[in-house]
Amino acid sequence: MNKTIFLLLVAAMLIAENTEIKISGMVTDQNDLPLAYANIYLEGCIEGATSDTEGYFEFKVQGLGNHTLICNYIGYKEFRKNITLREGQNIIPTIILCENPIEGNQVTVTASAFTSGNEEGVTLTPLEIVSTPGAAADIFWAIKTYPGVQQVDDGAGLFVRGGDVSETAVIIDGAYLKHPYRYESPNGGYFGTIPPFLLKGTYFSSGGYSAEYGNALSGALIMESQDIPMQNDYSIGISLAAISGSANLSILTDKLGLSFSGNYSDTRSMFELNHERYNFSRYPTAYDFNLNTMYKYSKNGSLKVFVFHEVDEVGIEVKNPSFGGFYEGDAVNTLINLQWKQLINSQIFITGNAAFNRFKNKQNLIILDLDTDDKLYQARLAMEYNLKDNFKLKTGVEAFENHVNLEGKVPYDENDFNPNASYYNLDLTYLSTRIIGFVETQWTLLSKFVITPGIRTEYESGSETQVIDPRISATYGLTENWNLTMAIGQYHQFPDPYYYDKNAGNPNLISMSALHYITGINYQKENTIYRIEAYYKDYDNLLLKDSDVNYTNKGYGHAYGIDLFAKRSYKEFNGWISYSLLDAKRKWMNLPNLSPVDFDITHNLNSILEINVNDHLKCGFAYRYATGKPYSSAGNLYNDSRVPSYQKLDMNLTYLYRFFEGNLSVFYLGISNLLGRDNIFDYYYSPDYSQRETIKSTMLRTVYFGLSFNF
Amino acid sequence: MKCSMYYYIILVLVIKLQAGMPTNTDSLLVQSIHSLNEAIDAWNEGAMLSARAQIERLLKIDSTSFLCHYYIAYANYRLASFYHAQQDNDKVDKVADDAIDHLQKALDLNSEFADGYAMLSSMYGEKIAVSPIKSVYYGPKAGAAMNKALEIEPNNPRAYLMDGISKYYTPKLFGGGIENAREALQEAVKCFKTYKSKSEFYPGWGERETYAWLGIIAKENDDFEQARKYYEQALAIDSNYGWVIYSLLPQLEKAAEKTEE
Repeated sequence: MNKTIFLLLVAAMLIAENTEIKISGMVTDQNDLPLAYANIYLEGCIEGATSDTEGYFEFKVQGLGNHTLICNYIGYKEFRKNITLREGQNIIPTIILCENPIEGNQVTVTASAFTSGNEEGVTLTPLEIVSTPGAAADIFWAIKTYPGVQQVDDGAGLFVRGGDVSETAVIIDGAYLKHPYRYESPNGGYFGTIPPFLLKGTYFSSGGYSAEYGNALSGALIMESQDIPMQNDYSIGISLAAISGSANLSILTDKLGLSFSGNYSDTRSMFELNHERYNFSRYPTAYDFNLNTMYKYSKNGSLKVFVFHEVDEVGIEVKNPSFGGFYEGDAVNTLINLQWKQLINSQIFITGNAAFNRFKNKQNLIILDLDTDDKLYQARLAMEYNLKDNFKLKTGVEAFENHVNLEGKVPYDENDFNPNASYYNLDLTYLSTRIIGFVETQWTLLSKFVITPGIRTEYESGSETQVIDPRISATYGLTENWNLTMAIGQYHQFPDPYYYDKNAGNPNLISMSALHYITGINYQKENTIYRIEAYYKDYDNLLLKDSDVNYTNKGYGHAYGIDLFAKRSYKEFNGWISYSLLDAKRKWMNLPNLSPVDFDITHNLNSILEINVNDHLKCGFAYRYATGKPYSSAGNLYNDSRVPSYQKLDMNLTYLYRFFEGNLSVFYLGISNLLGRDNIFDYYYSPDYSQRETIKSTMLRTVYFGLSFNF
Repeated sequence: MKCSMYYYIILVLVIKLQAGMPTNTDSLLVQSIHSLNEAIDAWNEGAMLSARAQIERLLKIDSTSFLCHYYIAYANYRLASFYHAQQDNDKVDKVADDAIDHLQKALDLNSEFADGYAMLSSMYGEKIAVSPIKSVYYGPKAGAAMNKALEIEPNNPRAYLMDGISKYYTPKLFGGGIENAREALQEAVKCFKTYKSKSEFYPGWGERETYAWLGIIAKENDDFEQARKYYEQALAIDSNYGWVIYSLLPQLEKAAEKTEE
C-alpha cells in the first residue's frame, strides 16, 4: 500500500514537472509605454522570451510550482517576482520596469549651486576653468565669473551675495581649508591656494546649501581632488612668473596611483615687464608642492592621502596719507588629509576623514607685528543610505579642534599704523572645539519633485553655545529641461579666534547667524544653461564694535538681490554671461548704523566669450563690470560714497601643438586689462579725513605668457 | 507488472534528472554567439537584443562565465553602432554603461582577458562619443584599458582594430587621425594572419571589419582603387558582408563618380 502511494506521488511529481506551462504578460516602462525587446525568463532556466513591439511576451516552460520571474532591459533595473505556476496559461500582471539613473541624469539642479568637472550638467568644464580669460588659471577667479560673487578688488576673494570673504567655507575632499588664499589679505588673497590641475571637480553654492556643510554664513566651495591616474604622464610648465612640474603615476592599474606636483613662482619679472605702480621690498614669491596618493584596497573601498604645502611671501608698499611703509607677509599653509571611502553594499556608502591644516603667518606693517599660528584638527564620518529608489538619507558627525596662537602688536585703530599709534599687545592662545551632527534626507516624488530637508547642530566649546540649523531645499521639474528651485535655511558662523581675545575682543561672543530664502528657475540642456534666482538673507548677532567691551553680537543686516546666468556653446563659440543685482546693508563692525557694507556691489557683470579658431588655436575675451565699492568720505559718514565703477577687458590666446606622440604642448598669452582702465579700489584717508590716497591695481595692463609641456 | 512499473519510474527519473541538470551551457553559448552574429549581419535590432537576451539567461545559469559577460558587451557594442546610426545618444549611453559593467565583471573573473580590455577601451570611447566633455575622464581610462589589452596580448588583432577605430575618431592633436588609424589597422591585418583564438568560445570576429575600415580610410585619402581592394578583401572573407555591399561600396562608387565628373 505504502509502495503504491509512493509510486503515485512520484508519478504525480513527474507529471507536474514535465507539464508544459505557458507564461504570458506585458512589459511597460514607468510611463505605461510598452517596452520592446525586454528579456523575460525564470531564474535558472534558459527558456524565456523577449517582448515584442507591443511589450507582449509569451513563452513555455516545464515545471509547476514556485519560481522567480526575472525581467531585464538595458538601462532599466532588474525586475524580480516570485510566482507560482499552475497548469495551463499563466498570465503575469504587467511588469513595470524602472529606469536606472544614468550619470547624466543624476544631476539634480539645486538652488544656487554651480559645478565644474567632467560630467554632464556641470556649469564649467575644467578646461573652461583654466582658460577663462583674466582668471590666471585660478579656480577662485573662475568662480568669480558666476553670478552672486561680487568683484570687490583685483583679488581672488569670494564675496558671496553680500557676505564677507570670511563667510564662504572652502572644503577639499571633506576637509575644511581654513586659509584658502595665497598672499592672504583682508579681502581674501590674490590667488586660491589649490591649483585647479589638482582637482577633479568643484561644487560652489552661493547660498541655501546642504546641512552637510556649516560654519559659513554665505557660501561653500567644495572641491574634490583627482582620482587614481589611469596612465603615467608628466608635465612641465614655464611662464613669465612661474615654473612648475607634475607627474601622475599609475602604479597598479585602477588600484594604486600617485600624483605629485610642485610650483615655484616669482613675480619680479612680471611686475618689471608690466611696470608696477607700487614698490616692493619683496616681490610676491611662492612655492608649493602636492602629493596625492590613492589606493583602492577593494572594489568598494579606497583610501586617499592628500598632502599640500605652500609657502609665500610678499613685501608691498602701503600708500597712506598719514603713514608710509611696506606690508610684509610670510605665510606657510599645510594640509594633510586622509580620506576613506567604503561602499558597504548597494545601499550604504561611508566616508571618513582625518585632516590637519596649519597656517603660519608673519605680518609686519610699521606698528603691526603679528605672528599667527592656526592649527585645525578635523575628523569626519558620514554615511549615505539609499533606503529606496526615491529616498536617500545622509548623516554624519564632525569634530574640529582649533588651536590658534596670536602673538605681537596690533594697532588699536585698524586704519592707523603710525609708529606712535596706540596698540594692543597680543599673546593669545585660543582653543576651540566644535562637535557637529547632521542629518539630511532626499525624497524624490513622482520623479519630478525632489525635496531635501536637513538639520545641522553644532556645539562650540569657546562660547559654550549650541546652534541648530534647519534647512530645506526643493526642485520641481516643470519639463525635462526647466526646473523650479527653492531653498530656505538657517546658517551659523562662529567669530574668528581673534575676536575672543579678552583685550582686543570679547570672550562672551556667540555665533553669528543668517537666514537664507532663495527661489529660482533653471533651464539646462546639453550646451545651454539659463538661470535666474532671487534671494533674501537676514543676518543677526553680527559683530559690532563697542567702546566698552570691544565687540558685541548686537549687529544685524540684510542682503537681497537677483542673479542671472546664461551659458551657450554654438559651433566654435562658447560663452557665458552672469549678472548680479545686490543690496547689502549691515550694522556691524565699525558701521554703527545700518549702512552699505564694503562689499555691497550693486551691479556685477561678467561676460566671457571663447572662440575655437581651429584645432590648434583658441582665443578668449572677458569683460567685467562692477559698481564701485562703497567708502566713507568723512569720519561721521559710513559708506556714503562709491569709487568709480570697475571695468576690465581681458583676453587670452592658447595654441596647442603636438611635438611627438603622447605630447601635448600648450602655449598661452594673456593680456589683462587690455584697455588700460585705471580702476580704483578704495581710498585711504588720513585720521582727520583731510587727505586721501587712491588705491589702485598694482599694474595697469598685464601681459603674461607661458608654455605647458605634457608628455 | 510491478517490476516493469518500477523500471519505468526509474527510467523516467533518470531522464528527468538528466533534463533537470543544467543544459550544456557551452553548446548553448556557441548557439547564442551564432544567433548574435546572424543578427549583426542582418543589422536587426530586435534579433540582436534577442540573441543578447539568450546570453543573459545563460549568464544567470553560470554567473562565473566571463565569456557570457563579454558577449553581452559585444552585443551592446554592435547595438551602440546601431543607435549611433539612428542618432539616439541616450540609447548609446545606456548600452555603453551596461557594456562597461559587464566587461568589468568579465575582467574580475579573468584579469588576463585581452579582448575584454580592448572592448572596454572601445566602450569608454562610446561614452566620449556621446558626450565629448567626458573625454577628460574616459580618455585616460580608454588609453589604460587598451595598453593593458596589448600588454597581455601584443598580437591581439581586435585590440589593434579597436585602437584603429578609436584613432580614426580622435583628433590628430590628441594622438589620433587617419594616418595613425591606418597604421593600427594594418597591424591588425598582420595579427589576424597569425592569431589563434584559445577556443571556439573566444572572440574571433573583426577581420572583415578591419579591411572595411582600411577601405574607409583609403577612400578618405581619395585612393578609390585601394579602397575597392580593401572592400574586396573584406568580401573575400565574407561574401555576404552587408555593410560593405549595401553601404560602403555604393558610397565609394558615388565618390568615384563625383571625382570623375
